[in-house]
Amino acid sequence: MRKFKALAIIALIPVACTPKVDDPAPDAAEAAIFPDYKEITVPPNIAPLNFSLEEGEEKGVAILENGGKKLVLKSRKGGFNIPADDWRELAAPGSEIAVTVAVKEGGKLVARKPFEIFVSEDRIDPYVAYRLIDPGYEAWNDLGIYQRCLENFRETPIFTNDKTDRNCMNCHSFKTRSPETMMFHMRGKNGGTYVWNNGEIDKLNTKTPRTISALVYPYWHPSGKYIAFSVNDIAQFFHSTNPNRIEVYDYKSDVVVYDVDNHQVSSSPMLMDTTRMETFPSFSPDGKALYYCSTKQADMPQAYKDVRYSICSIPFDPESFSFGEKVDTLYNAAKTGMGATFPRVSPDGRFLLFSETAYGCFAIWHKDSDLRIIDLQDGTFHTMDDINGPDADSYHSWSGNSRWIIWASRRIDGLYSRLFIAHIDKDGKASKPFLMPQKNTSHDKDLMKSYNVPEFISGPVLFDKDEMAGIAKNDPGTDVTFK
Amino acid sequence: MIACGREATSSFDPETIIASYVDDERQVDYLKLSRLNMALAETGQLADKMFHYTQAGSYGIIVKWNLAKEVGELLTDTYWSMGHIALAQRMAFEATVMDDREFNPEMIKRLIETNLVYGAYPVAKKYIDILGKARAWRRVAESYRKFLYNDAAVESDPVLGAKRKCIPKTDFISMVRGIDEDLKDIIRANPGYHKAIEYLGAIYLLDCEMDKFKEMLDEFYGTEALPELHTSFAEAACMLSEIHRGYWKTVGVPVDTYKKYTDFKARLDNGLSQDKYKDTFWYYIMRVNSQ
Repeated sequence: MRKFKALAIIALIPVACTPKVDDPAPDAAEAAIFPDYKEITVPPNIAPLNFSLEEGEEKGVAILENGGKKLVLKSRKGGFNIPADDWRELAAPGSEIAVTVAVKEGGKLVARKPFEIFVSEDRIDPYVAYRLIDPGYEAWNDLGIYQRCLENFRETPIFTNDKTDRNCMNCHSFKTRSPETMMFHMRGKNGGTYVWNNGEIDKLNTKTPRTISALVYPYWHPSGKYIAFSVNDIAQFFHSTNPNRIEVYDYKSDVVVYDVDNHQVSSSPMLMDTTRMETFPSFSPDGKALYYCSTKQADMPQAYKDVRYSICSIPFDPESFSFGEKVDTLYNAAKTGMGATFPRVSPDGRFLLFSETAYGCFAIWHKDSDLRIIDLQDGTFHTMDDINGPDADSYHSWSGNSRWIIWASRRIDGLYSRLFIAHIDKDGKASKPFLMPQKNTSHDKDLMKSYNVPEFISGPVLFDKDEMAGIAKNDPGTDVTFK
Repeated sequence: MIACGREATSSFDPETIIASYVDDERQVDYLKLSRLNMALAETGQLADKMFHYTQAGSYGIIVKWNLAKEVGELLTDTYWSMGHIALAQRMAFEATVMDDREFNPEMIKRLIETNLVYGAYPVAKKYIDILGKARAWRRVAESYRKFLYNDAAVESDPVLGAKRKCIPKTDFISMVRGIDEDLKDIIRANPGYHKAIEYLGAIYLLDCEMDKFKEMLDEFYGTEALPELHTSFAEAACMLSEIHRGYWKTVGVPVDTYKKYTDFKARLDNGLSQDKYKDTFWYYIMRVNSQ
């Protein structure tokens, strides 16, 4: 401990005896840093934005200034670790942090082109939940759903499969970002859907004679009384030459809604149309509309490149647990020539965010997948070029105040998904995104797991993991019926 | 791991594997048999000498995937040897995932190779960086760094360049059509990579798929992929002549081989011992048919 204190003091000493850094030359090169935190917008409650010099530039200095606060850091193994207390002072809401990075060249520090970090007044939900998985093919081993406090670097498991015989777990989902109301699936051994609600854990057997499969992709109704699900006959294959590597597709799929209290599912003929495949449901924030993706039934896998999903909506009446009869199409794949997945409406009801890809339903494996947004006020599309990277940008969620989105992107190395965050202003304009900060800046380069299905939550999930494991192993579960 | 140029740490030595292989007619160890067949392929002997050993169907070449790390490790080598980069990559990944150590240097090395072959340089770099953090593997990892973002270097490398040529010109869905169709696309992409056609013919013969074997000969015999028939292929061509009269002559089967075949048949008709033909395809198919 004494050693750590000493290091902290050394890190702060440069404030008193600042290394000499000349003003940057007019044609100074851009600072080569990882992650790229140049000219980004961040929430005031985000963890310190530690960063490092790119390879070959191991010695340098970073100067961070905001108002009267100035912090000078020397690099350690190329990295700049910003003390949390200093960061809190620097990251004042509605301000700008000026950053100058200087790199040792020929015995002296040479300043790179300065940049700014804009600190928004809009706070971000304090936690994000995600699954850490191998971005792989068929096998899995260590697998878990984790939560990360975005205000610091603390990551804790929500549930890991070492407690349940290393089975597969997926599709965690929360009611309006509440850590007290969530669900996820376990597959194979101990298989079932697990609902954590009002302090109790329910294990559900969700395959019914009238549904294609057990329940799959979920979305909670804002009331907490229902969860919309798709039911899917899913398969995958491996490309021989396509850089997308893997194709995950449905032979068929439908959408149903689960009644949490009565353990029943129901649907509409329009959500179980045998001539179409419906999937990826989500509710509107007021709970009166159900969004989903839909495409014509196709001969799979031969037709995998011809499948393009539209975004549709159908009225939903939570009082009577019934569906309307008119389907609206918000995104028409036949017109765009592209396909859409995972429609998600901002909590303020203004914008619909989705992933767009040339074909298919599993955008995470599609390098062309980008995020798009529809302004539900006037139906206009925003391309969001500012936030999409050269590789797959896919699964996304909104913060509670509708000002931040978080999503999984493969832009760093083309395979391992990492979490990026961007500010969305009231007109739907996105700021330059930033990589979720890590204490150790090499974390995202070294980790051989993908971040999967990021979902904001307002606090940590605190269910008893041993109780969950006990129920998984010993409880036969409640059979879900079709209403 | 397969010896392919730079593997100073490789434990795969085909000559040793072949020399030390103990043939047991009563009980086949598929993992050992697969390694043997791979060693034969790597030394250009598979289609000539595979029946010198007791064979047991194509699982003796491509063992059944059972989600075990060791099987994944073997399969990545098998597919790499075939020139099937997509499945070599898949199996290296599967074996990595199933490794409780969470660090399998041999498989990370393979992932470096497959990603370099594909030109997926950012993730190849990631694997090089990770492998290089293990002191014992640093030199191996660094030996790959020169290939990053350098297609010319990859293509001129005897191993990586040959594998890159094996990538089919048009994408196909691996294994959905059957491994034989995948191999045909590899052969069409890189006809000079003779291991692929040796594997293809061997798989057909081990599974007694004579019609498909003939289709293979019809397409590839006399081309760069198969300028002349290997021993077992010639033996199979003799048998095809039972249905397709004189077929053996059209694919260049030596007269001596055909005479041996007629002698084999005569001994079979007269109930005489076939032991002198134990190392032929004819004996293998007779044994399979009698089981």
